[in-house]
Amino acid sequence: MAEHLDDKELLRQFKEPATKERGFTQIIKKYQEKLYWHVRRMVVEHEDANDVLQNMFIKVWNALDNFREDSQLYTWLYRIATNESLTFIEQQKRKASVSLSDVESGLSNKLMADKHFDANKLEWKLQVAIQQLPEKQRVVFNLRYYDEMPYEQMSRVLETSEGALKASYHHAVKKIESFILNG
Amino acid sequence: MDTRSDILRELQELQSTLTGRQVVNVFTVPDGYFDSFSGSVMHGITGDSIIKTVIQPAGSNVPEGYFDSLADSILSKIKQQTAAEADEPLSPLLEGLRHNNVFKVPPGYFEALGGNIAARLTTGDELPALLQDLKHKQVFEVPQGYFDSLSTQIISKLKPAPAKLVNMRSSLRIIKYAVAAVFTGVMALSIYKYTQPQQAQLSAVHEAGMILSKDEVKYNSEFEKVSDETIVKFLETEGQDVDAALAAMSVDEKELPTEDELMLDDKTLDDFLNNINNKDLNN
Repeated sequence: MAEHLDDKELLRQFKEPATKERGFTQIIKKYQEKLYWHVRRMVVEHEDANDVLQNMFIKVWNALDNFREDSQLYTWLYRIATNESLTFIEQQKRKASVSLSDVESGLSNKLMADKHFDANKLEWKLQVAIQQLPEKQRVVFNLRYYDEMPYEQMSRVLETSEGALKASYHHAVKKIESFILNG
Repeated sequence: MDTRSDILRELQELQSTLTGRQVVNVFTVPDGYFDSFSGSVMHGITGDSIIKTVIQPAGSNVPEGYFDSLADSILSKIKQQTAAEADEPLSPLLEGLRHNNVFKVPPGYFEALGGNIAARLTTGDELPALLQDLKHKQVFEVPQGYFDSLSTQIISKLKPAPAKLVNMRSSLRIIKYAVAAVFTGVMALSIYKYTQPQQAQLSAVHEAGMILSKDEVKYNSEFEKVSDETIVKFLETEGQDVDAALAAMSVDEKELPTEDELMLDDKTLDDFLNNINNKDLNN
């Protein structure tokens, strides 16, 4: 894995007109994979994840000058990626003029349309189970389960208390387990 | 004592009944008070604290450890008093309502409460074994080399596309022709209006028309000298539709219909204008 500069140095490069583009490229390279998988788990399809991720980074480019360095760049990027993903899902919902549950079943259908989908494999069952969760609970589950994000950081990303996040994660785990075992 | 005799004399002058009576002090002090007074004053000044002096009369003793247990004994008395007050009976009405709880909780709430609190306190790392095993199994795929080219793709989107360059001079030339055409049209109508009833004046008007034509050539040559910016400013100050003028910029001068085309077909001009409108809509 390539070595990355620390965020302070990357932000310093971004703020210098001569190194702005180079600094931004480094920021993308440093976080692209983590953010991609976070978005992909939310929107399921690669094309959608790619659109969301690119739009998200364009927004970051426009807003990075105003970024306050008292918060972590990593947390801030996750927040924007999460909001972009949820906004995308919301737009899909509006476009289709369907209810939330229909969108979720739509996401499940997208999963099932994957050429590698195998209903008998637990890892695919898990993905289908995750799509059954309410949006916010899905974000919490993904951030904790896959990204192993500490609750304190997650609290800043989602602007929710740590206690509420712990409870939300606990419920998500129970629902998923029940879905996999009984579904 | 001179003083006493003076006081008696004064009383006699006042014819007071007190005259000649024995002065008797009706107040008493404890035995030996004055004997120990100076000692107790000095003790207060030089000895222990003033509080002790007040509480502890001179010459008397307090039980050993009295002051050590004083605070506890006072607190104990306060508690007894508070308990006594709390035991006072409520009004019968309130007493009857004391155990009527109007609030309800879901069935089994308290049985599950401990578990729910524990769930909130847990770090969440105690995953079921099933989910532990699945954690690192990736089911999604990404196109090969996607992450290698992602930053380049994003950076290329950040660079703005070059702005469309529009030749102001050619479009303004159209406006100039349009202005000249309108001017000529107005003059032609004026000539028609004034010459129709008065054929005799025709030659004179023709002469005037000739003069105007010459002036028009002069006008055009003068108009060429005016800068584009000045024309735009003029249109703006006159409240003219500058946007419409700018829209005309996209018209290629070569596409303009020829004089013959205009003469041969009445619809040529309409078709040309419709064509421009359609182009605008498509852009």
